[in-house]
Amino acid sequence: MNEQTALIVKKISDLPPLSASTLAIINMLSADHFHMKELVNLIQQDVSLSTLCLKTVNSAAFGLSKPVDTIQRAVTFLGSQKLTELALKTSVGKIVKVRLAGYGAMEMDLWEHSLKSAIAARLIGPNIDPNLNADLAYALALTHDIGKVVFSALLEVKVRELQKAQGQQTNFLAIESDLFQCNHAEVGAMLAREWNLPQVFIDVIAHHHTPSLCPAPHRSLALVVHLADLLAMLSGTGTGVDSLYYELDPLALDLIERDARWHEEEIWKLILNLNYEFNLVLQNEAMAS
Amino acid sequence: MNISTPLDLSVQKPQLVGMGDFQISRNTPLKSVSLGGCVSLIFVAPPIAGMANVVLPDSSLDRQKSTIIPGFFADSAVAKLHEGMLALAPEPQTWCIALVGGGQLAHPRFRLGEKIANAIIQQLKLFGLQPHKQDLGGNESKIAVVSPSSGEITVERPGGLLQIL
Repeated sequence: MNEQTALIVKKISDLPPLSASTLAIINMLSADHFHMKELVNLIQQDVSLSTLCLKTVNSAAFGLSKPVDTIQRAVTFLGSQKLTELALKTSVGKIVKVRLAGYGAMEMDLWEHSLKSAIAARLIGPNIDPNLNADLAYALALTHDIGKVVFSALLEVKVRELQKAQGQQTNFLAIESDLFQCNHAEVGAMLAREWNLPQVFIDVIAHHHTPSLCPAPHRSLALVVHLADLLAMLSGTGTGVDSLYYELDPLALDLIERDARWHEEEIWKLILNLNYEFNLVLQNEAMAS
Repeated sequence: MNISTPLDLSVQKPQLVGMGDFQISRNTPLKSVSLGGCVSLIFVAPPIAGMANVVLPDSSLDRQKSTIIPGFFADSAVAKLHEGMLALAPEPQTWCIALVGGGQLAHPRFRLGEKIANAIIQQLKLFGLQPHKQDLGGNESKIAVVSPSSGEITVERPGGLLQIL
């Protein structure tokens, strides 16, 4: 094992594992069908998630006239998408809310980028595949850049080489691969495997910049996350030195060339809605806290 | 563009201007969020400065939103910032106008920054104005900071590189 691989493995093993309840919720959502009673039982076993669910549903943002005091009622009001967000927030949120010095990203940048990508995935998902599992697309977009938490440490030790490479080419993924023989998407997939996330997470995280290379069953989801990621960056919510330094995958190029919903003005409308919904989520988060 | 030491923000804590927001300030520095493809329009006439972080080129997409968040669109942002500046610094010939941001993705369909900057320049012309300084394009997401008291405009790039415009 070379020094660099050893560092990646160490960084991955240093990260806290996902909570059992988060993993179970993700697995249930990925399976496309679940029983509400089972979901409520899972949440009740996780004190921090239960507290967050009740706190969120009783916040001013929900505007309920009577307080909600049971998880069962809270889950009904929250809905599966918000629940996914809260479950990931209690575990992944803690991991991604860190300064990524290698990327020049501030403490909240990766979380906000992930959140905005998730909202974008929800907005564009049905246009790309009407049968798409929206909750799953949301969760995948929320976790797509998790590899950056580990990869940032590698970038930190090659700052000069990185700056030089950025002056020469415009694809950050290729720069990472040239400098380190692996990239943040591959490292993210390693992390997803380490956390025992379902195969769809491993595939989509690995291919969020290259959806055309994603295994067929998960290709649509990888395309959604790829475009959602680009929209989040374009609308100003990136993760530092790599923002906008990515290329469109051939699958995405084909889609935007042939589909009228990707004409320039339609993209502008998407960005308008995306910013509006993102600001709303941030405001609600502020109210809930 | 000169490379220089940044504003001493520990002394002058800047006010953050969000995406689609606009702000006019006397003395307090204004700092944009990370701009991506968006463009920060800056007016400065010491000790007054204004900033609007424009996200889209044209408010015809949603007239109602342009009245609620005028900074979001090039046309409404220029009109609103011009009006606000006139009230506090009534001699437009003394204003310095700058454009920062407008990062691009490789595909022409995503060259939003260029479209926003062109729309802003067209709108400025309607008021007999034009930008004096600009730092636009590239693949980086920039942050703009303006000090109303000194008139200095600083551009921050990822990794902490600071340049005075």
